[in-house]
Amino acid sequence: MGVKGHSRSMEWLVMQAHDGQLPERHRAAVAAHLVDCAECRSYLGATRSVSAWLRSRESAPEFSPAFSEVWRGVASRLPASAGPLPWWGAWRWVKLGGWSFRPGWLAAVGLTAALLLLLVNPYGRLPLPQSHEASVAFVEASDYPVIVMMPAHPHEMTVIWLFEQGAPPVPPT
Amino acid sequence: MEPTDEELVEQVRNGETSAFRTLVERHYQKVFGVAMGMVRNRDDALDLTQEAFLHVHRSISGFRSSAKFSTWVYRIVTNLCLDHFRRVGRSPQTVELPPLLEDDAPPMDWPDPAAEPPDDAVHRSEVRRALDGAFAQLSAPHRAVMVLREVEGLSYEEIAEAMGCSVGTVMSRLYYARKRLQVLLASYGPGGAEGKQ
Repeated sequence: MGVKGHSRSMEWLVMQAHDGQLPERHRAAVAAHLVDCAECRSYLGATRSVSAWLRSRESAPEFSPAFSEVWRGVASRLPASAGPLPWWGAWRWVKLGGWSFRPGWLAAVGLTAALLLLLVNPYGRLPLPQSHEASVAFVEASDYPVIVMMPAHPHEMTVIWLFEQGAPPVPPT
Repeated sequence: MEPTDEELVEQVRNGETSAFRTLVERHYQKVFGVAMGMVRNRDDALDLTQEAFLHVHRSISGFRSSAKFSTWVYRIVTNLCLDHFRRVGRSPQTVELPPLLEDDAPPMDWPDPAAEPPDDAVHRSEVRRALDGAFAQLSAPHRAVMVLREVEGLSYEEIAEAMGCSVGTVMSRLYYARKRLQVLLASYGPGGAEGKQ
C-alpha cells in the first residue's frame, strides 16, 4: 500500500531506495508511492540522470591520467632512503576482542604498573607490622644446635648457626 | 595470488617501495576520480592525487589495520581537496537558489526515467552542459558526498568514515545536493525555462 501525498520524508526514502540503502520493509511502500507521486518521480528522475552523468563523466578516458604520470610525481617526492620504519613506527595496530591498540600502549601500562608496585612495595621499605614478629625455631642437631629465625615472610629465612668454640661450622647437607 | 592491501601496507612499513608502488597503482584511479569530482580541474586533481599518496606514505605507520585501506585513502584525498579550497580561497561557485524544501513548491518537470532511459538523456549535449554547470555550483562537501556515492559507490557508512562525519550528515548532504541539482536542472528539462526557449 502506497503512502499518499508528497513530502520531504518520502523524498528521503526515495533517495535511500535509489542508493540501495533502504531497509527492505520500506521498499514496497516507496515503490507504490512512486506510482502516484509525480514530485517523487521527478526527484528520482533527476537523481538517476545525475548519477548516470557522473559515472559516465568520471570514467571518460580523457580525464584519467596514466599510472606513470601519477607515479612519476609521487616517486620523485618520496624520501631518498626509504628504509624500514623505526621500531616505534613499525608497531602496527593490533585488534583484539573488538579493541584496537598498539603494543606500545601495553608496554606503557606495564611500566606504569611496575613503577606503582615499586612505590608501594612492602619488601624492605615499609616496617613490618607489629604483629609480625619473627618466629624462632630451635632445632637440636646431633652435634650442634641450630636456631632458625623465620621472619614475617615465608621466603625470608635467617639461619643462625650456634656451635661450640672450636667446632667447625659444617652446613647441613 | 595478489597480496591484499593490508599485506602491502605491512611491506611498505618494512621499507619496500615496490609494495607502495603497487598500492598506488591499485588505487590511483579512484583517488583521482574523487579529486577530479571535487576540484573539477585535471591538473589540480593530479596534484592532489599525488599529494594524497605522499601523505599515505608518511602516515602509513598510523594506519589502523582494522580500517579499510581504500576508505582511509578516500578520507585523505577528501580532506586534501577541502584544504585546497580553503588554501586558494576559492570555494566552488555558489548561486542564490530558490527555496528547496517547501512542500507546496510546484513539481519539477524532469523527464520520467521510466519513459526515457537516463543513458539517453545524459548524452544530450545540452543536458551534459547543464549538469556540468549545476555540479560546479555545489559546495565542496556536497560534491564530495556525490562523488563518493555515485562514482565510487560507497555506502553511507563508508562515506561518513571517509569524511569524518555522521551518517545523518552524509544523507543530508546527498539529499540537498541532489535537490539543488534538480532545481538547477529544472530549467533545462522539458518544460523548464531553457527548454521552452
